[in-house]
Amino acid sequence: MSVFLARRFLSFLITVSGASVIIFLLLEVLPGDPALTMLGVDAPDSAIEAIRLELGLDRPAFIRYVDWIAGLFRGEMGLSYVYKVPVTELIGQRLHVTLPLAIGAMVLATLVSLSLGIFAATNHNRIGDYGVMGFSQLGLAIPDFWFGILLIILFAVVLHWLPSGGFPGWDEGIWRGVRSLMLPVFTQALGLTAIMTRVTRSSVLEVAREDFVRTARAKGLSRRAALWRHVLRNALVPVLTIGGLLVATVVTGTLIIENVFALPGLGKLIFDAISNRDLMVVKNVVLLFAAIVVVVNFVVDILYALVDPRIRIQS
Amino acid sequence: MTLLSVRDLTVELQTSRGMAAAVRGVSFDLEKGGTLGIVGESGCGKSITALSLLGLLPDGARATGRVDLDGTDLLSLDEDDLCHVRGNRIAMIFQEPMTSLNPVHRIGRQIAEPLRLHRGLGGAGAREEVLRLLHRVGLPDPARRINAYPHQLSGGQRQRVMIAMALSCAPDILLADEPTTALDVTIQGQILDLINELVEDTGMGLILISHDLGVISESVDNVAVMYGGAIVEQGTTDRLFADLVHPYSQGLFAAVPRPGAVRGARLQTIAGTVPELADLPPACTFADRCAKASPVCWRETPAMTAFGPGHAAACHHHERRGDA
Repeated sequence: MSVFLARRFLSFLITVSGASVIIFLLLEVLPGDPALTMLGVDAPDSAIEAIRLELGLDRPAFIRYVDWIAGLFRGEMGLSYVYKVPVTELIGQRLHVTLPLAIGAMVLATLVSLSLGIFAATNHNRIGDYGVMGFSQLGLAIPDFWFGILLIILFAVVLHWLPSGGFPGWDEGIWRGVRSLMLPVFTQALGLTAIMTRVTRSSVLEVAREDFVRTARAKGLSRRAALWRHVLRNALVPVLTIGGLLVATVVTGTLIIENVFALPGLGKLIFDAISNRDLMVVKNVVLLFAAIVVVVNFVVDILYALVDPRIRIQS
Repeated sequence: MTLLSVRDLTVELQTSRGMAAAVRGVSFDLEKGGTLGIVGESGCGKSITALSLLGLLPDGARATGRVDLDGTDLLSLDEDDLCHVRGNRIAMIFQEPMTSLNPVHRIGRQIAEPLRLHRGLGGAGAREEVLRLLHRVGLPDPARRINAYPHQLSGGQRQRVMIAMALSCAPDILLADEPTTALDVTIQGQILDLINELVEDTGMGLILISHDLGVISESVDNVAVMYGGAIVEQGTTDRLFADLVHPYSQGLFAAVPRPGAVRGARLQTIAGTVPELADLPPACTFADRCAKASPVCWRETPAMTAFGPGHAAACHHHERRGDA
């Protein structure tokens, strides 16, 4: 197990380093001068040059890359060009919104899709199965920003149950914060649920046909007991795989969701940073996104090994 | 004393072409402690017959007739009552020890499951019993192996685990569906010996299903030959093998390669292939492949006719070979 962990950690380091190089290079070749964006196109050349000097943009790219990485090891991400505050501080504030949003969506989608998937599989080719599959098809087909707008119209505009957007901050009370995250979480969970429901259903159906399930039944286990004790754990592996991959969708999806609901989260931060050429923010947030995705898949790998002993032995 | 009495068991399965009979009017008895072999090609209905005794038929299947275990008709039991029979009074072992064990649970836990379920044993009691069972089926080093996962065991060891599991609640009947087919030849003999030994020691009845005439002839007192879902010939092992009556039994026996046969001589085969369930002839299911078939074989289902004590066959054109 320790070899397994060490190997996974090494691959984590390699992936994140690779991501940092790609992010840096992409931002280098991207057109648009931060100094120009900050000062406007009419600014005198001398002022622009001064800003470039101040931001350290006059130094060679390699030096700036090493500087960035060295800073990360010290826990520093530099100053935002636009907000003039440390990027770490910005990210810290925004995580208060994005983390609950992403985790909430993931947890909700997992709970709902496991329930629906198992329900559909146990009602295979019956009305309940068709209903769930129809819902899932719909969930896949509806774009999430549009679904978000529909939810706003229904729950905020018509029913006045929930706020249409914005985030008051957790200082204003947990419940108010939760209320303003409800619609975004639902919106983001829709697509995830649709996909994971399908995977759960087909995985359960497949495992239920395995010989060892027949063995379990021949021991005297009821259909339900065989499902819970023998089918589900085996059926979990593909669901975990897809769930891990979907975390990337969730992370990037916050860009759209936070814009639709005007939430001050990481997605909104990076969206604004890109518009403002606030490259210091862009590269750090993108790297953070990449790291989150890699870490989650690292966790998924560990979960695999916990679920299926055969994976433990192989690695 | 008759323990299990099967009368006119018919099982219809859902196929892409509608319902088709996989088992047709099968009848047999199993005495307390008796052993019965069911032999036939794949698809002849032997496994479906076994599964119908446990009520574990595929979805959409329909079983009719009577399956009496100590006077209780198993076919009329509801799901809950059947759960009390399965693994408790009738236990089953399967062909594929590789896939018949759950890969994510330790074998100790899997063997303890029926004990927990039917005997209410838990914790240390269950563990002790599992160790005893593992020892009984000859798994080396039970104290260590009890925590092994199935993939850490060989095929023969897994089949021993399956047998331990089946044995756990001291069932009245052990259904063994091709228990040695997936194993190496050297292991096959060991597993068969183990099963025979356990049957003798515990006094449980055995229904051994196999396509292998050698396996059958060595292990059971009575044999039923199945073709196309019907029993075409049955009798005591000695009598039946001494005097095969049904053309199908004769063909099956002739198709077994024998040491000492003339080099280069062609192996005898039965003409044609096993038809799909829905395409089986309506009366005698063997009619389309039988050299002796005549119009009556297509019109009338042949009745089981006795040929001396403890031997019967269902054929319009029975022909006796040698002395009964």
